[in-house]
Amino acid sequence: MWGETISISPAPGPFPADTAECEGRSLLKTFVAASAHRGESVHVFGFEIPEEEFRAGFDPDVTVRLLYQDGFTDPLRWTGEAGGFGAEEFTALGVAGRLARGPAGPTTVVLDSLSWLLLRQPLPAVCQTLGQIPRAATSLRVTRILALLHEDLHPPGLVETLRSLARAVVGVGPAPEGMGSGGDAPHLASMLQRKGTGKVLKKVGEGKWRCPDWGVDPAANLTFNLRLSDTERRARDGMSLPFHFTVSGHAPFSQPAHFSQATPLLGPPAQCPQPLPSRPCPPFFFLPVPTAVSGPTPLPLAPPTSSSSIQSPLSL
Amino acid sequence: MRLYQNSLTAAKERGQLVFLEGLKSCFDVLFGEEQHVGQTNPLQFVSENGSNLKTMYEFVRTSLIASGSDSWKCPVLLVDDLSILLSLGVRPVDVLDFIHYCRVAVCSQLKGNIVVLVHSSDDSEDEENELVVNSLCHQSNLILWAEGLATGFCKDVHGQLKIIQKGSSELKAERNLLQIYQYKIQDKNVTFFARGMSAAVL
Repeated sequence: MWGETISISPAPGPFPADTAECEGRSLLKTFVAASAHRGESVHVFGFEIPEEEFRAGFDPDVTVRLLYQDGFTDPLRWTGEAGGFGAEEFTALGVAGRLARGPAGPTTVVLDSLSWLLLRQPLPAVCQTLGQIPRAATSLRVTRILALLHEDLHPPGLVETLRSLARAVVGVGPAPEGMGSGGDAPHLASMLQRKGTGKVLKKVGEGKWRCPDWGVDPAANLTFNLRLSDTERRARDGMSLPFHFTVSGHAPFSQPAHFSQATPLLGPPAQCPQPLPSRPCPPFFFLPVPTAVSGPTPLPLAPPTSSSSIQSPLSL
Repeated sequence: MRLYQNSLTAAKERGQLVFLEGLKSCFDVLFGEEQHVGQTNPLQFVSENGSNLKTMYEFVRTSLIASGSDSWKCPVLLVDDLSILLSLGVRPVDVLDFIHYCRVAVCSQLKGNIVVLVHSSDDSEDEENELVVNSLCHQSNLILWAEGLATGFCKDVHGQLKIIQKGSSELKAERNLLQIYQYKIQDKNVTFFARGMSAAVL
């Protein structure tokens, strides 16, 4: 089952969203690390896990740029712990006040998680707050807001509303069994991104995320070639298929000059009502099925008619 | 309590076990005498038609602090079961708030563990219960999913247990570890074995 990540604010940035089957916090942390490596300050408003658990796994050059706002220890003010970030402080001014305590300059705001807030505050208020944060934080520049969303905790309508507001949505899900090896098993992620020009990009990929990049290239380090070079692609695009219709309207057979025993023998089509699409495909040999063999001499192949404009694939 | 009565009674007497009888406390709240000043019943919310479980959390915290002065190791909070709180009219978010603060006190501060029992099913239409269950699945490191056999009743195999160990949420994404066992409940014991390896068929 797919979870979806939602970016809520005008600031761009993909955000992981997950379900109980596949956690998305590790992907969120890779985005945090990427922001830190870009030289940005990262303000994390954490509500679901303690600070030491969130910081676990980060390099020292990332943790030095991380400013953690503790919304985990006493978010509802039951114990009176000082210094924490309460749920009632999640307003544009409240968040901006916390951001102002950090260094000026480009800043990434992280919400772990948006689901925790949406369960305790109405959706319009949360969305308004997220939209006003960049304007309220006047002392610094909010470049992006990352938010983790647990899709299976919310009704589908709410999730769709957040999708429509977000600049980028990244959904994570468990990879099928058999994909990956050992404990470093990949996840599957789908990303939907709306660019400023109005273009919408959709991408689905397998990822073993340890960095902000999009995971492992499955075609790398193979003993065979899965891709075509430019020359090979041009040759394939320029090749005519044996079943392309001619001006006469018939579908002539191709006349291979040589065929191997491994080539399958296929019967000729009676009629082709429509011409084959002109998309490139690997060449294949098409031979008439012999109805009887009276001697050891094989039946000769009928040559194409003179009106045929089909070239043999071997003539290339 | 009846199944392991002797050992749990002894633990209660030496202060190792603090047992809150929810049924008895509910009765005391609704039909009992006036509460003394300074004493608050952990289930006070039942009479107040409210949903705030802050008093129950304070009871948990007080009990843990009192036992923390002894030489016991990491505390364990057992909750049996959360679905009943929903039946008493507690809102799902208030149940999650209670568990949240218990995690802060028991897991984060006292380095203990919490074991929570909830009821669910694949075709459940109880949205509030499913919200609590899914939220607990997100927060848990280990999920024990007990269910009956898909093939129906069996005298020698009483059910199946799925053990889902969540991967760590550090930078490296890890797949959840899944183990499946079948079990048979005996008089004072439970026997676990691999699927199809019941003693009755071997």
